[in-house]
Amino acid sequence: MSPAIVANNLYRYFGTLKAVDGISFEVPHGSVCGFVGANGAGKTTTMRVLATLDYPTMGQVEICGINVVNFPAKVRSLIGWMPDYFGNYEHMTVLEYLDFYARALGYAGKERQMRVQEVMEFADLIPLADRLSNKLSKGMTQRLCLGRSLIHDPQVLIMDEPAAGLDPKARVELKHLIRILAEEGKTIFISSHILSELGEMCDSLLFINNGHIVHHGDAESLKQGTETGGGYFFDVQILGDAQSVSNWVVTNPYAEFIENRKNGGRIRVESTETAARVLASMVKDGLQVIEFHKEQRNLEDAFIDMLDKVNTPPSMPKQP
Amino acid sequence: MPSINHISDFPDKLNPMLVKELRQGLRGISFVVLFIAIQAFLCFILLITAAVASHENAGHLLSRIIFFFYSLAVLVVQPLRGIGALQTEIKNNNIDLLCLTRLSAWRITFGKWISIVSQSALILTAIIPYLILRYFFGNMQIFSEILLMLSIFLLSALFTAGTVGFSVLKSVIIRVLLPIIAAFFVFISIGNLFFDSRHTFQNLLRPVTLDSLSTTLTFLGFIIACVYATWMLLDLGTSLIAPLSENRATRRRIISLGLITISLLAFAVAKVDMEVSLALSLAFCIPVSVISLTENTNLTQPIVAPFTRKGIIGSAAGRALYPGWATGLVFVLLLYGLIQGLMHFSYRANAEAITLLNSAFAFLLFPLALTRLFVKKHDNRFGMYLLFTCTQFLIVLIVIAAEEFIDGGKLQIMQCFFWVPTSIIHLGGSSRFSETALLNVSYINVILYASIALTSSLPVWKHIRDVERLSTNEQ
Repeated sequence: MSPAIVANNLYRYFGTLKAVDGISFEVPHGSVCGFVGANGAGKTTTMRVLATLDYPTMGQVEICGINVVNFPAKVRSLIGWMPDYFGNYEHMTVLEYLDFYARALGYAGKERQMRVQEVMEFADLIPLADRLSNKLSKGMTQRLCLGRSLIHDPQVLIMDEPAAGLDPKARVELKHLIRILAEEGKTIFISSHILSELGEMCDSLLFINNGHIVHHGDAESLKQGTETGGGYFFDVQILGDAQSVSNWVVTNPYAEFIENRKNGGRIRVESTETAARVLASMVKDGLQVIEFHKEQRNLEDAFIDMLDKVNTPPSMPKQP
Repeated sequence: MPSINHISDFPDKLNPMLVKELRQGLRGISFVVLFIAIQAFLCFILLITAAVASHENAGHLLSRIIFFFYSLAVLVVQPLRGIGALQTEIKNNNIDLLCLTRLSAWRITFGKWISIVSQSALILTAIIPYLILRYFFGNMQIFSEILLMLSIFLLSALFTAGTVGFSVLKSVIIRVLLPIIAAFFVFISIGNLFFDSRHTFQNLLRPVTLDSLSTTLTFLGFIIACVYATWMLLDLGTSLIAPLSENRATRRRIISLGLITISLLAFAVAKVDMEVSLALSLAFCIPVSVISLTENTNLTQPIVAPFTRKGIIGSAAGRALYPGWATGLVFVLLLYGLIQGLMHFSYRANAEAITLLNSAFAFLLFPLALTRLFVKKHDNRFGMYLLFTCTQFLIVLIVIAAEEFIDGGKLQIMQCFFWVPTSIIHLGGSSRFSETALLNVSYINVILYASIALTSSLPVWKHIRDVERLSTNEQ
């Protein structure tokens, strides 16, 4: 079975601007993939190509094995698209809005009513049925948009910044709905700026920078830093002179001192086994260790580290 | 589980866009105000006219007033409502959501158009009671007045197609300013037509009396031209929002080619005047040529596949029928050859007619050549094309003004601008060129601009061959 999403050497240029510059990735069926990048990194362009709304300058993109350029109609029946922004229609209630899209998707009669009822129940839109669609709050609008994108029960859901501008409550609600969809086995490709939430929801994360993929892996590998120079960071606190930690680390080849901290310092080791050996040596050498714990980097830190690493130009050899 | 009261205000078979637009449009203030205003005006006018009913021309006066307000509503106000039809959807990102449904680009554009037209139809039906009342004022030619009303409605549908079709374009000048200027001129024309004392109401009705074969044929020609132009304008909008893999060009070109061939042959058989025949065939040519010469050249395999499956013949046909301005150029040259041939064989056309035909095609090719020379990579190809089209008129107007006002009218420089196709009109009216020289100049213009455009299309042909090769390999 082919992956749900395949991008192979995808390029999208707008004149001289290289919005997407030769990216390749795969997203397996039933997984949730987070798509992360700074503004202008190429996220929306990539997602629009996946959704058949734009076309690649070069390269192949397939959804469930179907080429998006050659067979857009087939692809469209498989995907649900939730853009970062859309304008609701004037003089149209929530129910009429969903009814219109159900009609546009080819549903008629009882089947249309059933589909509308189902998505309204799922997105908790029933209390809003008679409200004008352009008078909803941002959270309600996003629920409506999610409902709309689910009317035809798509296999793949492409969501561009669905949580942007939502208050914490609406974000939690949206996250809950996405989690249910993931449990139902839908493939979800989602971009967001709120990385902590992506980390909780996603099976894999795809980092894009200046049109290039700079990371594709799970959140844990990213947090541990194996993709960004490797190693584990530990916070060490001792009784007595805090400077002793840095003095000790300098003499120890298995640990690297990073920075001073209150009552100790921050060190980096290569593996958890090394960390155990370093701790044992510290105690053996007379340091009164009261705290030695592994730091959990959050995704924001990992993302910033990754961008720093990617954006730092390689050091030039010194002139003789 | 809570449930909702499902709506069944419109039947399932209606175009979903029409359902949406009617739901919104009938609640929108512009339609409601227009509808009520017309009713109020007509009631008022009817009462006033009733008061002066003894006047012998009261019936005709009432007809003029009814037709004026009706024309104002359906020829000026209603078409202007189409200005934002598709652009609003584009700006709000809704066009993406619509394109992802099963609605084709055509159904989206058609739905937008038909909703405004159906609201115009509501206005038409609202006018009918006043026409019935007007009957009692005497001097009514029922059949002709109904035909006039339907003709105005047909024109309204055409104008609405124009604004809806152009509403896809980004350029505010083309999308908004042009229709507003056109609407202003339509307004002035309507005023002149119905209130200028030089035109009697019988004169206005004469073209729709259908009392002779020639008026009947003219009326039929008017209907066909309206339907064709409406389709072309809607298709222009459709092409601009359709996905790359949707081929609209082939059908459009084949239908136009068929229509032009049949009409030219029919005119020749019916012995219609050569001038009329040429003018009508050019009128059919211009819309399809403009659209063909401004199309996007990105070809995809699904478009090419049906052609390449038919081997060399299919591939050769594709050279004129694939979407894109380069194949559009071949198609336009094909039309040119066809009309030339038919004019020669059917009418033994004289130099003047051929000069006119050449100039018309040079007029179509000039903006393409300039676009290819100066703004190759501009996104708004259609806008640029229109800009260079207007430039032709502008150059000629400036030269005419210079000739008139500099050196007391003795300056004669128009012949230096023979390369501007529109200059032929002016040069033909003067005695600066002989008929043969003008004919040669017109041939030079066609060859010059066709050569420039063909030369600059070479990279496109390479792209076409690449796509064809990929398509053949996959079969």
